[in-house]
Amino acid sequence: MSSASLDRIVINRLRRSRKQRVLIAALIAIVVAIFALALSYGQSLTPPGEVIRVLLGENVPGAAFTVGQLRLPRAVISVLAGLSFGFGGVAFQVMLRNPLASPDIIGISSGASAAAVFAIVVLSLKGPVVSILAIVAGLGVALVVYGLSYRNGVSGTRLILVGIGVSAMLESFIAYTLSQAPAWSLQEAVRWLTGSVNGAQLAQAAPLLMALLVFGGVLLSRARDLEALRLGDDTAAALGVSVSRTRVIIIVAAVGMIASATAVTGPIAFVAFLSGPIAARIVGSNGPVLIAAALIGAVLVLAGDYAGQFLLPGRYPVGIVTGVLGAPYLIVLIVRANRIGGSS
Amino acid sequence: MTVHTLTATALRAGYGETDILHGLDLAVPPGKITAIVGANACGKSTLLRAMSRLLAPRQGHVVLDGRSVHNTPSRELARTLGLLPQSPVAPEGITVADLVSRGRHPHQRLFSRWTRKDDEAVDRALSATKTTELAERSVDELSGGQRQRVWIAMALAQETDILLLDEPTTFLDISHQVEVLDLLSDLNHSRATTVVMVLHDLNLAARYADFLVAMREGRIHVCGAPEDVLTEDNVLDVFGLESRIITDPTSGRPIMLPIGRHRIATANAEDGMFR
Amino acid sequence: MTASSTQTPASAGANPDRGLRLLGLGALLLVLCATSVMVGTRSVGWFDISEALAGKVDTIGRAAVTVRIPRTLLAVVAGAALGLSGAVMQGVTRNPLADPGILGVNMGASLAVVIGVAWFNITSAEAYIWTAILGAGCAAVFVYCIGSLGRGKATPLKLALAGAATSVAFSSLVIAVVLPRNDIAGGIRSWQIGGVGGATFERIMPVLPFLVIGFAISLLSARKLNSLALGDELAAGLGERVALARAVASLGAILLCGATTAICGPIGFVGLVVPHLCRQLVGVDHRWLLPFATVAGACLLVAADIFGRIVARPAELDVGIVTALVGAPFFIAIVRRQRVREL
Repeated sequence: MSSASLDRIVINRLRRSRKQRVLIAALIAIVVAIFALALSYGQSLTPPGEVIRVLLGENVPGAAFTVGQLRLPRAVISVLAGLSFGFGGVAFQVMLRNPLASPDIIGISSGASAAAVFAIVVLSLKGPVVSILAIVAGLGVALVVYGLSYRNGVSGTRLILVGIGVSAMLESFIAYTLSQAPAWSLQEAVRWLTGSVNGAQLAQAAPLLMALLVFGGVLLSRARDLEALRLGDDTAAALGVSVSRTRVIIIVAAVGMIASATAVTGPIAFVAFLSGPIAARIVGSNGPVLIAAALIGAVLVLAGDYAGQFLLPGRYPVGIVTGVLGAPYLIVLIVRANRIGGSS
Repeated sequence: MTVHTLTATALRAGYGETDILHGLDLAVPPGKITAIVGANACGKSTLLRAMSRLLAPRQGHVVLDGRSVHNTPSRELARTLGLLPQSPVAPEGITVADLVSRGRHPHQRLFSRWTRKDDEAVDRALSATKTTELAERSVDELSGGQRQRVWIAMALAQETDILLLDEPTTFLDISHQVEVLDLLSDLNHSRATTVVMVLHDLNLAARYADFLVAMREGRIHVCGAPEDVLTEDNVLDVFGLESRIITDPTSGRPIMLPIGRHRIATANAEDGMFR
Repeated sequence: MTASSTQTPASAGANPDRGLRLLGLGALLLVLCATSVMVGTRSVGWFDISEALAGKVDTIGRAAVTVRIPRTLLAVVAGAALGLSGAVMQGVTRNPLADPGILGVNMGASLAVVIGVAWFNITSAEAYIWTAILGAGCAAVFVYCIGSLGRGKATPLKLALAGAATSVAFSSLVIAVVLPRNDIAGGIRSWQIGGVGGATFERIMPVLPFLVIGFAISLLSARKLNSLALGDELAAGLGERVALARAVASLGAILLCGATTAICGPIGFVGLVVPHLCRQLVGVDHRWLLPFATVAGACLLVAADIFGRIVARPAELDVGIVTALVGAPFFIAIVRRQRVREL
């Protein structure tokens, strides 16, 4: 054993992790920056000093309402939802070893949306009940897709394809329900479906934060196993990962996070899909992709909402912005993903 | 190095509705190199997978040191028993050092940090497989032989006393095959690692293995020392092939010469020259 | 997917059998058509039908008939086109999961039509059809190209994923294009569902020439598809010009599903389910499979339309919904049955 080679290994490893830490710190800084921007500059410019005073609880006339009631809840929900979508989405993509295998495509989002549309149009419900139904449906669909793809174990390929089939059914159900909906509930349903943080309340932040901490914590605790899964089911099992148990845990945690976020904001197109690949471009696909993707999700939702409100002609909800900008990038991604190779 | 006993008893296993192994008994000799040979689809890979807990047996047990393999938690098992499966997947763009360090997975607890011991294990693995110079290169760029050595390095970083390898030489050219087999022999001699590998090439198996297992249709047809297993009758039974067995002058082990229908010298030619 | 049929294409003994089955399917189609005309929110008897055909539309029942006949006709034609198109696509891509819906082709046609309506104010039927065909063609080429990149050829999984992701991207673009245009939003949304309601002869006529050409090209590609089924290298070894054969067959399929989407909106899963069922009946020889898929597709869509009219009385369940709700479980069943390596 040569000590020179050992030192080189250690040095390279330390250098790699230092670079990763710097990148993550930069991403956090970006999130904070956009958050601060969203709090200070909207229809009017609120000087940073006043923003901070409002945050500390002071009742600054004028600013307290704008910052405290309008901008703050919006920004907080955006960050939490973005973290959830990004984190949940990348977990699926890493687990299934395929960047195109996103909860958006394999039925989770469709399930939550179908439940919400059903609740709004058919059951004439509103508010938190709709959200709860959406969460339950998201988890239920995940369970169904997993169960349907189980045949001596679950292969990633089968899971994805079954998800595509289930998603098609749900989408047609949604289309039908919308076509039969009376005007006023149609509007509400469509509004829910486009995904936005309009009318966000700070009260919604608490449960979302809880979900993020609980499910996110579970995912982080499995991060190493998830990394091992990237080497193929057999190799991971050989390294001591119990593949099916880890898969189930990751699916439950990821779906839980995404469903919770969807329950609050509706499905925000493409954030779950794109955060992972963008993160992989920035920190490398073998780096801290999970955390980077969560942060990028937050960036996408924050920036998307801000752009939709102030940078575009007309006000658009964040779901539209991410959808329109996401579509071309998604196409680039498909091209690149297939060029490199898909799942096994 | 501790001596481990790995035995399979009355093992019945398979996929879907069919059984591939029909009640098989095998005692892997500790500290030796065992090679499993047999015709296609006779169950060699299935046996390896059943012994490494990748496949649950329908009947029978696989026992490691007196404990059933299936009652042992995966992580604990992975510290003693390592497996290199048939087609491992290398994540895109991963460096050699990074991939080899994945082998330390079973030694790391939930929140454990990377320790010096881990680095040393990686370094030892790299130097044993002579891949130290490749440490910072991307695995995608390597040749077939180099890549296989890197995978073996990852299995070595796991620091297990038993190493199972499913067809480690199948897609390599002859020089790389010999390279890998020499490496496994080094390991066996220096660390007394028990090696069990599935091989296609009968002659290489006879040369490098201490214990040869010939399988046929889900059962062990015969097992033992290469001289005892590699006989003309056994080759006929297991592969349906006529052959002549002679002794390899380089290694002293048996060599199987296949007899087909063409290009065969007449029976009188003892010196083997074609007429 | 290999040509694993044990019947040789020219096995004389099987022909009468298959011929009989085809006749049987044809008879089924006639029965279904008759049912379709008779059944609905208001049931109608034979006498009323014959009176209505003779031109006397004095009762509501007979008026209903005049609405149902073109609707049934459209269902027959559209179903045949989609069934055939799916069979051809599965042959061209050697992929058991190919279907205009899954491969994003329908969505491409939709996007093209939506852009045409929103930005170019197209109104004529011909314009709709050409736009839809253009969109379908572009989407097909796009999805196939990117599905073929990378390790391995265009495996079913890669194509399905490329198609699904492309559909998602395109539908997002559709929303983006439609959003500022409240005037057309409602119309687009109902068109997007895919149905044969509101059909009239005037609306069907313009699309017939495209469909006829599409049928002709597709049916004539049967022998080429048989060669392609052996794999590109073997087919070329047998003297087939692979790229040309693929292009021609695909052209036929695209004409069929583009034209259908232009009139009916995107209807999915017919192209997936019908070829699979027909393969059970008639084997993998495309010279039989394609005609079977044509007739069976027509049967399926007419049956779906009848079902949609009955099950949600007095409202209607559009055909696109029925095929998705029935076809998706079928798709899942196929996926479950295939061994993973084949996917």
